[in-house]
This record gives sequence, C-alpha cells and structure tokens, in this order.
Amino acid sequence: MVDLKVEEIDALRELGNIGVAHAATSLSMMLGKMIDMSVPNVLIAKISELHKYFEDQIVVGVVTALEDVENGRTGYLYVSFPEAKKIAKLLIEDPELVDSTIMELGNILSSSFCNAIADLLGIMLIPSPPSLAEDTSIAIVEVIVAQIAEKSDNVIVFETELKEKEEAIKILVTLVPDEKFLDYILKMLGMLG
Amino acid sequence: MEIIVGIGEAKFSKSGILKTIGLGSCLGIAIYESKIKAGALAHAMLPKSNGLKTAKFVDSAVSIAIESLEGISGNRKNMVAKIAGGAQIFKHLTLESLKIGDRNIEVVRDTLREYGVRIVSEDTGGSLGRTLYFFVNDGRLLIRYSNGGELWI
Repeated sequence: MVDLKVEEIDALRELGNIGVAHAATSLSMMLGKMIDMSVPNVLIAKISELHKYFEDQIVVGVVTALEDVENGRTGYLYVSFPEAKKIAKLLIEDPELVDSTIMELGNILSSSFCNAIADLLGIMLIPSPPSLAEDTSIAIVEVIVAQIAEKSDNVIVFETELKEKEEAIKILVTLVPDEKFLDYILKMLGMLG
Repeated sequence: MEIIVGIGEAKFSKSGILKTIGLGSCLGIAIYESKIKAGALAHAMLPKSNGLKTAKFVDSAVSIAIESLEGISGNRKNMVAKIAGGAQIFKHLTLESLKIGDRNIEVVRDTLREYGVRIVSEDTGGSLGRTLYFFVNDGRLLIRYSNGGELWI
C-alpha cells in the first residue's frame, strides 16, 4: 500500500490542476464560452478497493495509453463521464451527439493531462489514439487495470469538476501507471515535497 | 449478508452472498462445495501467475478458492465451478493489449481440469460488464448485466 504525505498529495493535486487548466482553456476557446475546471481531490486507490471509488453506474469512458518510450514505462489515462448526456447538452447544446462530444472532450483532457505529467516528470510521453467504452465505471476501469496488474497495485484518481456558469459536472480522470511509472512519479513527488 | 470480493481477490463463505462488481474483461470464478454447502468466489484479471500466489491471476485464483474450501473441510470431489466474465468492453478498440478475456478462459479450463473440478455452467464473452451474486448455500449464481438484464447460471 502506498501512503502519501500531505505534501505529495498536494503535488499530485497541483499536477491535476495543471492538467485540467490546459483543457479548460482549449475548451473555452473551442466553444466560445467560459469553462472552468478544477481538481478538488486526489487519491491513490488499491486495485482490490476500486469498487469503493468507481460506481456501479453506467458511464462513457475514454482511454488513452501513455508511453514513455525512452525509459520503457507505460500507463493509461481513463477519463470517465458519469453524466455524459448532461455534458453534451451543456457544451454543445445537443444531447444527441454524446459519443463524439465525449470522445473529443476525453481527447482534450487526456492530452493535457499527458502534457502535464510529462512536464512534471521531465519525460516525453506519447499518447495512443483514444478508445471509447460505455459500461459501468468499475467494469471499464477493471479492463484497464488488468493491463498493469501483473506488478502494480495502485491507481491515481483525480476527482475533477467542470463548471460552466452555475452548472458543475463531475469527471473522474484516472491514471493507471505500471509499476515503474508509479515509482518514478512518487520519486519525483518526494523530491518536490 | 453480502461480502464484496474486490478486483483481484478471492473470498469464501459458508453463508450469505459473495458479490463482485464490475466484471469486465476479467473472469469471475465461483466454486461450490455441495457437501459442506459453502462457496468461494474469485475476481481474476490475468491468465498465468508470475510466481506470486494471488487471486489476480486465474491459475492462482482457482488454487486459492479450492484450497480455502478444503481449509473448512471441503473436498474437491464435491466441488463444481461456474465461470462468468471475459467481455469485450471497448467498442473502438485501438489498444491491442485490451484483449485478454479469451486467454483467461483457456487458463481457467486447464487449471480446473488439473484439480478435477468440473465447470457446470458458464456465461462468458459478449460486450457487457457483469456483477455476480454467488449464493454460497446452494451454489446459485446470479449475473446482472450493466444494461440491467439478469441471468441465473
């Protein structure tokens, strides 16, 4: 079990906030309205306890593989939208275009997270094209976690909030790092803290 | 009484319901011992163990489940297995490595055969996530799909 110090959690939250800030800027520009995003909470979750954080409710999820080619480390970013229809309505006023809106939003969020992580770690991270899935949040995360489960036991969950005017929507951004990737992140956080 | 079996875990009980939620590509393995009326349920992610004996791996999960029932005076001769899972959750699949479901099923068959435990029913594949409710007193297994559908096996 990974236990983080307060400073390390702060550093992770900061990483999340940098990730969403870039995304909010691109979204605001794209849509021509003010979109605000923040990461109020970050946590490290054990695989065997994921059912406490990911609900048994249907979400639309976008998954991107991240590859640090130079150092042979990999991870996945999973962006899940519990309120996909509401987001599509809020962003483009068309609840019918859910899949393409979510795909695009997932794409924007994962690439800005990818950049934020790469900057923090001082590495080059290459994202794969995104994959889309619609099922219970826990079933989707389970598929991704299985990719790294051989040696790793933890994922990092950024609880994210997207705001337009008075409306706030919850989005979960989950980083599923392989063992080497997680070790490196924790090492860098320790040095920052 | 419901006991939650987390991802990569195996648990056994002599009463109540063993429940695992969010079964996607992974495999749920339920073992029922009809004489002592007890059951074990595992939620395994990967086919073959790398040496570690944890329920993350299908082959170890089968061993752990069977041995846990033997630990409460169960006998392999009275055990049967039910399996469920191995769905293909991703529609737009660009990550090649996301296909492990088939390999998991292959390994569970081989391992159960080695233990001499027969698979009496199964529900694998498809594209929907599953939640399993294993009634350990009588060995019934209820599958609830993410679209709300249900199936008893």
